[in-house]
Amino acid sequence: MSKNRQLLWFALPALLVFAVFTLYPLANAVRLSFTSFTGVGEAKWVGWSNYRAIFTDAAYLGVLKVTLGYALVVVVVQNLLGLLIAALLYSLPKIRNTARVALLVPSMYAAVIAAFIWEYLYSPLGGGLNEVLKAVGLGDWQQIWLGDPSIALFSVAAVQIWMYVGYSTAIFLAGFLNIPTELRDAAQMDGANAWQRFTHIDIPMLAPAFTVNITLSTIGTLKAFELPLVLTHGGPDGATTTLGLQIFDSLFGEYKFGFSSALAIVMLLVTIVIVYVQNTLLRRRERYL
Amino acid sequence: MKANIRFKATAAAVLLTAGSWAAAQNVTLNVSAWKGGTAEPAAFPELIEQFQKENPGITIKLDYVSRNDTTTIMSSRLQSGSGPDVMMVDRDLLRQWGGAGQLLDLGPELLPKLTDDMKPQVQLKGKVYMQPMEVVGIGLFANQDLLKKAGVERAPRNVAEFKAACAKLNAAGIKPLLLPAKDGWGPAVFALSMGLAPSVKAAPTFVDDAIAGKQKFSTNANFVKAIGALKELADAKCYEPKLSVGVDAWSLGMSEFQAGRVAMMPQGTWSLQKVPATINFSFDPLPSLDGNGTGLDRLGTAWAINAGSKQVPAAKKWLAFWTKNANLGKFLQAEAAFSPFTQATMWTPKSAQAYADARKAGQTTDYPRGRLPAAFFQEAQKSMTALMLNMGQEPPAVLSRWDAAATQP
Repeated sequence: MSKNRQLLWFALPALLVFAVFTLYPLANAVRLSFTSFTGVGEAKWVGWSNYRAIFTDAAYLGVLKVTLGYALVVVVVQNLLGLLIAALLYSLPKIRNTARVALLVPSMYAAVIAAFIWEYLYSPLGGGLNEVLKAVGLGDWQQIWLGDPSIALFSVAAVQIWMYVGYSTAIFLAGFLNIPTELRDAAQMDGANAWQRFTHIDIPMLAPAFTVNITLSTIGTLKAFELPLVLTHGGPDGATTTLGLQIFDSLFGEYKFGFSSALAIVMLLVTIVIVYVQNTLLRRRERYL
Repeated sequence: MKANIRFKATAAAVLLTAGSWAAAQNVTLNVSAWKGGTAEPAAFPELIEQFQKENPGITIKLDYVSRNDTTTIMSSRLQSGSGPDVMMVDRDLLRQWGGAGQLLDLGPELLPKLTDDMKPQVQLKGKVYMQPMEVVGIGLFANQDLLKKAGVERAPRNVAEFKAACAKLNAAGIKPLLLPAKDGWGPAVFALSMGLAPSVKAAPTFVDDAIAGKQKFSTNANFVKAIGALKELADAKCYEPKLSVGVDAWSLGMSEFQAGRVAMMPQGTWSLQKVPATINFSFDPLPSLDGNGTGLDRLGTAWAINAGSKQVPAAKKWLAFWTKNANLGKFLQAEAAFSPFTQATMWTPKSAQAYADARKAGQTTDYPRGRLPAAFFQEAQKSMTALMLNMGQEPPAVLSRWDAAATQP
């Protein structure tokens, strides 16, 4: 038996598990997405009509827009904050480990519980955030954080960033620790200031950390569901309805199994395309290291 | 040798007969429900024990399945022919499963025992598919101490009374009404009760006609007035529309009422037992455009038998057990709900007396969940949130969103 064939036999159990638990459900979801299946009874073939509804109905296009906007805000802000905190912690070795663990704590909460706590912090009826603003003399900045359509999405995004900025920080920090100190020392001797060292050495050398962080946070936010569900239930008037939440509502609220499958396939394709493009660009950057 | 064979054959026959007799006597009835778990026991352990004592040959195997999981898991089990014998259902599931032929027709025998408003709700295309367990009411929680402090005798029952009560409460420095609108539920139930009761009274087929597109909410005078009434109440400073959008009925809203910081808010009977004993409150009907208020009655949970069950006689015994006043009463007491049967005692707490009186006086109307499509409620609630954000919207424009959603398949 050739070595390749032997390896194939070893991989077979894993391939079988992958086929049963990943490929089969995916194929089934694709099949359902072309039907009007409602959970029981006949799954009537409806062709492309579910997909047509998603891409022609203003309400569903709005959902796509909200999802992409939410992902953009979270990915940009979470990674910028993570980078800044990691840079700060890198220069403070005494508190580095403690701070890193502390920053990871919010990501260990169940998202539902985190959302529940923030619902009270955001409350317009004596909620923590408004009370703090009042106490520090910024009463004019008080808002109905989850009830104003112009800021509700940012309020939900802030909770997601609060939860997962620790992940980004930990990955960037590991990247900082991998940069050879000789590079910085040489730059310093050549007269480069701190900002120049950061932009010309740290940022390029952190390319692999950027790839991991941006890819993971993009996948996580495009699937966002729990936080909008608990904090706003997609409101006010659809301003925070993400694709994940729309799938939940269409399935559990309206029993549209076929349509929800189509939405899930759209979500999968959007995620694949975005992550593929991102990865291609980010990997190209890594090659210049 | 021959005698030996004969003996063995006889012994085998006796054993087989005894086995099948024992099997016939001992039936395991698989029941699924989203109540009866540790979070909401709903008197299930006690009732199951009592049922098994009264029916020694039947063992109940209760599967707790959450409501959301019931939609997916139970649907799949029914589809594959491995569903439980008896399932807890609601009106949405009746449409879903009954329409697909998965539920057993219970026959018309049950109908005479039910109150008139329940009869159409348990049927689909003329067949009785479920036996209701409870009627839940949607009404108004009113803090009696705060009302008295402001000189308001009782919870207001119509728009005029409401505006007068708000003036008194505001003058006394008390927040009159919280209309939680984060998901639009609060203003939606106000608008529905005000618009639906007179519309159904004038045309009993109003809901069916709206589904068929023969009646429109946007041109119905009662619903237009109902949206107008929400604006009037906001102008009378009964509530703050924009602030309402930041509050939900189930956590923030309930916390405010539980803390005694607001005089009134819309709620359901399911929240009656969440109010601490220190709060002197009543559960009243919602305000009507004029008259004496309207409660929204909603069929809560019900039992249905799987059309493919092999234990139909035992399943029917389980359902019959739940029709007995004393048995059902234990469940209703735990759930603070009303009975769907004509010959029934009131099991709800005293705080719900005003609502119970309204039911007796015929001042309740059917909350059309499960009749109108689910998308209708989502859209109606969203439109109410949008109204709270922009009270300048014209009522027909708001209600046109309801029209479009009502006719969805």
